[in-house]
Amino acid sequence: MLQKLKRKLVQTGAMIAGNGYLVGFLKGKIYQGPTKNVCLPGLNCYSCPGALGACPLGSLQSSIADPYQRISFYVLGFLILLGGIFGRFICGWLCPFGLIQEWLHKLPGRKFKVEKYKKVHAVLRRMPLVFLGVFVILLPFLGSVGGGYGSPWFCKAVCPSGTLMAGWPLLAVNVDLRALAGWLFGWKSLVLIIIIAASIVTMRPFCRYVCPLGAIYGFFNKISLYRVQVEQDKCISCGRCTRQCPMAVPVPFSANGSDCIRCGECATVCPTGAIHVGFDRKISIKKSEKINSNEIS
Amino acid sequence: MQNDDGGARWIVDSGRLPYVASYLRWIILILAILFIALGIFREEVALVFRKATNICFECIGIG
Repeated sequence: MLQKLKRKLVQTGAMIAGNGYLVGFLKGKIYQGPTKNVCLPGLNCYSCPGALGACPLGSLQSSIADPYQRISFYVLGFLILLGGIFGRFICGWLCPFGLIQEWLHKLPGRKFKVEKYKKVHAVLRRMPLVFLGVFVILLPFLGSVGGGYGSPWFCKAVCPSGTLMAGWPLLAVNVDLRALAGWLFGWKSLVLIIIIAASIVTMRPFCRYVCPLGAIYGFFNKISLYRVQVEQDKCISCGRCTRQCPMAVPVPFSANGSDCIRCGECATVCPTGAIHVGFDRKISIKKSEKINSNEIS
Repeated sequence: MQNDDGGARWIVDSGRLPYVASYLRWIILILAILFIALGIFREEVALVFRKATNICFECIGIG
């Protein structure tokens, strides 16, 4: 309970700290101060009226779509540094769109676990890599092959965070922008509504099956300094951690799998205190004497 | 020892890194810092700033 409260406080604090330019919401304008030189860690649209920093995914696409730049070492270094230190802790603790999905999931209604359908889940959980490869890298690159500027296709065609945090609030207040809205705005609104509906019935559907930024941080989950550790001789193979995990990570078998967002819920339910979530620490490692793997259902 | 379901104990992934990987990650972190420094040297910050301080029409579904 304390862990959940702590995480909610950190998530809310991060959301407010990253989007604290409240005047922007009233005037329908965006912040243009010096902090926009720096990327925010989570999926946080830089056109959100309150955003005080840049979106790392938007910045990455902009550099790929720019024929005079292609690779932004600044943005890549930022992503590698954060990934290497925190892994997907950023998704679980700092991303505003992750928090919004969790709020939506609290709404009453029938809940649905996609992971019960293992084949469907296995295919869907690879989709963030497809979105990363196609919408974040390939399409922006192809658009700029002839020497012109490409488009940030993930922002343009998919990103529901941009629609929710920037599109809707800006168009609600800014009449000039509202006049420009066409079919693309309708499409993006539809994507957002689908994600909202899906978030009510299942946990973090966007993070699990779409988000390319989560996929990037997920690459580093296995080596990040902030990680999950399981004391082998304390684990009694009860499976409570896996059943509790909101991202359906089989914790005892893949403690730092690319889906783990370091929320720490597994550690709170472990009856023997075998699971530690935090920066690296020395734990006792012992080969289990009798081994057989049961599928966790 | 048996688990809740009466099954045998599992092979547990401790989450501890192999020896080489524990050094590799420090190399990756140093590389990341070098990338950031190189990016600042190449004035890539200006592009991030320019993009972030103008309303991104694609992001809001107009462009």
